[in-house]
Amino acid sequence: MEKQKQDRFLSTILDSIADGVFTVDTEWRITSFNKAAQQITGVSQEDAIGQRCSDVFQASICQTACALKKTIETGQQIIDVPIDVLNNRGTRVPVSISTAVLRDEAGKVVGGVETFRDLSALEELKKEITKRYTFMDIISKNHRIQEIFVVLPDVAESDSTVLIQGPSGSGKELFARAIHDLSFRKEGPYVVVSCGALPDTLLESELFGYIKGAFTDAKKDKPGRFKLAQGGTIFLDEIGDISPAMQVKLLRVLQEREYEPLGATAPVKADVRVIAATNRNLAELVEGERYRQDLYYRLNVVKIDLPPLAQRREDIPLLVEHFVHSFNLKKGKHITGVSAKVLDLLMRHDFPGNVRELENIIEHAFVLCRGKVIELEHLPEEISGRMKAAGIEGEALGDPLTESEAKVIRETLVANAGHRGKTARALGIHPSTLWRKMKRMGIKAE
Amino acid sequence: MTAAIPVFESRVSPRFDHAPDMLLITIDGEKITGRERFSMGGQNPLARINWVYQRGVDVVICGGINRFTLRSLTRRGVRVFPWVTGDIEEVILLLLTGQLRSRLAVGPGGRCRRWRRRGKGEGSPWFLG
Repeated sequence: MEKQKQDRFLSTILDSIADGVFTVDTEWRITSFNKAAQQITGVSQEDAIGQRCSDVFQASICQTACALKKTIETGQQIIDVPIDVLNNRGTRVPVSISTAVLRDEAGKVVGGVETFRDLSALEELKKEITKRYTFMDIISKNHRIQEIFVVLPDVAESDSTVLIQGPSGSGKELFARAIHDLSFRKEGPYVVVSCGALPDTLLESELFGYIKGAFTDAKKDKPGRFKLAQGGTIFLDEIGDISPAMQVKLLRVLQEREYEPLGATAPVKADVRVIAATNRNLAELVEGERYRQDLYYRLNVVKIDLPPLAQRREDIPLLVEHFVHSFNLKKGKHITGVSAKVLDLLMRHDFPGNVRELENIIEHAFVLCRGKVIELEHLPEEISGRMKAAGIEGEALGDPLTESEAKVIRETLVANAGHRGKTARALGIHPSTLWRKMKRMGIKAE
Repeated sequence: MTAAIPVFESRVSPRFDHAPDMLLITIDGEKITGRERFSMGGQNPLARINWVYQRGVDVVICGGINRFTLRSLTRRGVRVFPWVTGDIEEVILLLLTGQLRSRLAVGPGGRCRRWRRRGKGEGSPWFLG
């Protein structure tokens, strides 16, 4: 009687917990299953009791890395590991699980307990935020990029030639692809040509093609990229690197909408939308008379300027999350993200290679990371080395704003030969404020 | 008839998309004429669906399966018995004798009971094997 009363009391306690809780014996048979567990899995308590936990829980890790098994074998608790389970409707439910061992009065292991929290609402919220900052395949909450998102559908619809300027790795091709996908040409081909990679003669035959007999090795007709892009879009990358002779030929295509394959006697009509991109400043090249002004004007009908990643640091956490998710899918891993220290370090990095460099850093970390979270030691040497070079060690990493402030103070001190009074004046703060800040940040006037 | 069962050790795997192995059996009337176990380690759900198509599987018997995978299989004419749990041999015996149903918890000696699932999914057509 007393035992029954105790069981009822325990059941009431378990049912009052918002997290799912179940216990198993040493044969993995479920011995208790609370109300929240029934709600999350959709399995009734009556059905669950006595069944193997894997048959009820149907988690992604049941067969490969059972958390309860690990806990019972090692005695070590597992806390907040994200996994997914299938509910009664076949829908994946993201949950975070924790496990512990159950022992009897003599300390003998009699089973295990697992608690799980439904993360669906949290994931939905995350998705909503990501959706707000995502346009086609481009992710950004930077105000300059958000402004581009607003006009991109109109740009796509206009069928005008577009010039995309931005440093290497800033995502020019993603924008070109988005414009194509949003345009009425989206069913047509999308052809990419990297103009800077080819010498002049090769580039000409690559773009415009040739006719059989045009030169010794021309045994048969070869269609050029403009022909292949007919009815669609051609993306001319590194357009700032083409020779003056090629500039003339390209100008003709843009002006007349026709071109001549090598060896041809008549021009061919080009129904192709041109999107050009460069990491160089074309206006400056025109000023220096290294680029044809008329071609520049033809290309510059609509211009999109992409900022370097260093000028859109607010996007780094979003991009990190995106790359982690995408590499998880590609490499079949279950990494949940990067540690606070790693994110802190990435927020200070200058990213000369822009978004592509960030992607490479995460890919590198994926190779080395065997756990759930990317740590400093998983980053490439040159990135983690910068931290040491900057004299920033482990725990001492602060927030990026404080670091920027410290940098400005150090530079102003150097500019004023270490004179604190002059430095304070130059910074527009009281000398005692400067002294306090220097003390807090560990800066010494030399 | 060819039947595929995602398996984990000697039991029906709790998840189609995470099963380490797939058991392929060919049946003629009530007799098993072929039986082979394939490793599926690391394959994504799409690769698993394609695996089923490519081998001309008529019937899939599995534990948990997501809606997308279930629809993909049934649209291609594969008959699926989802949410089946228990020992492989007991399950195969039920299949051979025409007693297999979806949502079946198969116990020792072939003792069965249906999984009664709570919530909105109860009785939805996609459950039916």
